[in-house]
Amino acid sequence: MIGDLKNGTVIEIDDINKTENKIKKWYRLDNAAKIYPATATSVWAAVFRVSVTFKDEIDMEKLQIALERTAKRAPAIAARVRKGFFWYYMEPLDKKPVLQPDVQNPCMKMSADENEGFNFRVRVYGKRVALEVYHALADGTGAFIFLKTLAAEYLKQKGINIPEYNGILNCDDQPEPEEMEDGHNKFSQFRINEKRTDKRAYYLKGTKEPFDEVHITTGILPCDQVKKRAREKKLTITEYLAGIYCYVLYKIQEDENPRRKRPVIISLPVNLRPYYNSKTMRNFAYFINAGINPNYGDFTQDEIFEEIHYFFKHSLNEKYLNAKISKNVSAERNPILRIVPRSIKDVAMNFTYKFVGDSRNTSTLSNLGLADIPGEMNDHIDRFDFMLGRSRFTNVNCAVVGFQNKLVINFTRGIKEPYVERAFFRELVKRGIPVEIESNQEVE
Amino acid sequence: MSYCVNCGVKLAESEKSCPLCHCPVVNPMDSECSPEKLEHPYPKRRDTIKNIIDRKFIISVMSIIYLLPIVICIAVDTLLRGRMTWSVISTVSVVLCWVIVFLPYLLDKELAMFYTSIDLIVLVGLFFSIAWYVGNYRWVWGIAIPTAILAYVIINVTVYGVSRGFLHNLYTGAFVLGATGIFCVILEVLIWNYIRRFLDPARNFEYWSAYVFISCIIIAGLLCYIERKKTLKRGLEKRFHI
Ligand SMILES: [Zn+2]
Repeated sequence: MIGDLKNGTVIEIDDINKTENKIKKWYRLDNAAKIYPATATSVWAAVFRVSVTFKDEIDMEKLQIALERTAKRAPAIAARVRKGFFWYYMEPLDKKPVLQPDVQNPCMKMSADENEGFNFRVRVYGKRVALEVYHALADGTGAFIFLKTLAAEYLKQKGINIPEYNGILNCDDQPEPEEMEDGHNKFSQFRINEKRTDKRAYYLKGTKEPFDEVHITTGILPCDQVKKRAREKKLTITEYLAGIYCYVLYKIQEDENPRRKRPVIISLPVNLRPYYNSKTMRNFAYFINAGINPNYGDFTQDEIFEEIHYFFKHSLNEKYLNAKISKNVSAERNPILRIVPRSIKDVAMNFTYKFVGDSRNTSTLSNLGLADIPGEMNDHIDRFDFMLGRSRFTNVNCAVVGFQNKLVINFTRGIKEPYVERAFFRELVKRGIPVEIESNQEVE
Repeated sequence: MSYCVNCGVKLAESEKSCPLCHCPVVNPMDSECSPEKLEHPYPKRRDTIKNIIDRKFIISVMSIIYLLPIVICIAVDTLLRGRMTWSVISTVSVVLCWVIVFLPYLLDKELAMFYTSIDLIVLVGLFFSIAWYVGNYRWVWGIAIPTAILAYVIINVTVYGVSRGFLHNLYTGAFVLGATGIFCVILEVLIWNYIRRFLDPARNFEYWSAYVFISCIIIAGLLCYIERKKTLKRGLEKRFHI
C-alpha cells in the first residue's frame, strides 16, 4: 500500500489490523487536538506559522516540486480535518498543495476550498517561505519538522548535497506510522485524576481589533547573549524569557492597580517527544501553566525566576507527566461520552474552553528551541520564525525560535495597543541585550 | 539603521515608526534611501475571510424548520374545514417568531428602530388575524394596538437615549422604571375605557396603576439621586458589594 502512495494512486483498504504498519486512510484526531475544531468559529480557528528565510532569492518552480515531495513524505500535515458524527477525524489528502503569496495578516482561518482542501498552506514572500498549519493537525514541533524537510528538499532541488538527516525527513523514504501516532493515547498508562484548581488568571486588556486584523511584532536577539544572561541565573533560555515575561506582566497589573489582583500565569507548551522518544508529527505537547500570585506579596525578578525554574523542574518529570496525560485521555475513553454526538460535544468543549481553558492563563509563550538542521543547510538559511495566530481569548501571545545566533521572538496581538511587547523588549534592552524590531504595521 | 529613542531597540529599516511606541523614526543620514525600495517584512495583500455563507446557511436551515409547523397547520386546517381558519393565527405567530429571532441575525447590524418597526407591523397583523377568527375587532383598536405602540415608543426612546449617551448607568434604570409606571397608567385607562364602552358602563376606575406608578417613580427618583451623589454611590457599593 505504501507503494501505492508513492505512485499517487488512492489507498483503498481500511482494515485496522491490516494497516497497522501502514499509512491509514483516516485517523482519529489526537487527544490533544480535539479542542481546536470544537472551539473554531466561522471566522476563527487556531492556526500558527513557522517560516524560514533563505539567503538567496527563491526559485518558485523548485520550491513547488519540493513542496509536493514533502507533502507526500509527511501525510500528518498534508491532511485535512473533517466532521464525523461522533468525533472529528483527520484524513491525509493525496493531492498537490499549491504555493501562495504571503499576506499582511497571517494565520487567518483556512477555508475548505483553499489549497485543494489541505489544512495547511505555504506562503512565499521575498526570501521567506512560511508554513501555516491548523493546530488540529500538528503542534509547533511537528510543523517545524515539515518546514525543515521542505527547506532541505528545496535546497536538494537546487543541487545542494544533504547527506545527513538529523531533525528532518528524507523525501526519498516512505512515511512511517510512528510519525502518525497519537502520543497522548499511546503513552498514557495510569489512571489518576488530578483536579484542576487553577483560578482565573490576569487578563490583558485592550481595544479589540476586528477578527481579520492581527499585529505582529518581531524582536531579533543575539542568541549567545541571551544564553549568557540565562546561565548567570542558572536558567534555560525558556525559563529566562518566561521569567522576564512573567515579571513584565506582573508589573503591568501592578501599574493598573486593580481592586482584585489576579494571578499572572504564562502557558508554556512543552514538547513531549524527547520524554517519550516519540517520532510523531502530530500534537504531542503539554502545557505548563507557570506564574505567580500577586496576592501573596510583592515579587522581585529573581523570585519569579526561581518560581518558574522550580515549577519547570517539578512539572517535567516522567511520573508527573504520565499522570497529567492520563487525565487528558480518560475523558476520551469514557464509553458514555464517546456516543454523544459531536455537535453536543462541541458545545460542552466550547464552554470548558471559555471558563477553564484559556481564561486560566494570561498569555502563552511557546519556545521551539534552537532549530536542529543538518550543517550543510546552515549557509543557505538566514533565520527561522515561529508565530502563533490570534487567540480567541488571550489578547497577546508570544512564540520563540532560535537559529545560529538569531533568537527570534514573535508577538501576536489582537488588540490595538502594543504595551505588552513594549514592556517586554524594553526590559530586555535594560538588561543589556540588544533587540532589533520589525513588524507588520502598514506603511503609508 | 536607526534606534528608537524611547525604547532603545534597533529598528528594521522598513519601520517608519517604532512598532512598540509609535515614535516616528527621524534619521537625517537615511535620506538617500527611498522608502519604496525598502523591503518590508510583510506585503500589503491581505487575507479575507468569508463569513456570509455560514450565516445564510444557518438562516436557511432554521427557516425551513420554521416553515414546517406552518405547512402542517395549513394542511390540517384546510383538510378539516375546507379553508384556512385558525391556521392563519399560527402562521402569523411563527412569522412573528422568525422576525424577532432571525431578522437581526440575518442582517447583523444594529438597527433597533428598523427591527422593532417590523416586529410591530407583524404583531399588529397577528392581532388582526385573531380578531378576524373570533369576529371581534373592537379590542384590537381599543387596547391591543395602543399598548403595542406605547411599548414600541418606550423601547425606541430608551435605545436612542442610551446610544446618544443621554441615558447611562442608573439613569437608564430610572428611565425604564418611570416609563413602566406611565405605561401601566395608560394601560389601565385603556382597559377601563374599553370595559365602560362595551361591557359595563357603570364600571369605576380602580386606580391599581397608581400603586405601580408611585412605587416606580419613587425608586426611579432614588436611582437618580444615588447616581448624582458619587460619594453615596461609593458608600452603597462598599456596604452592599457582592
Ligand atoms: Zn519605541
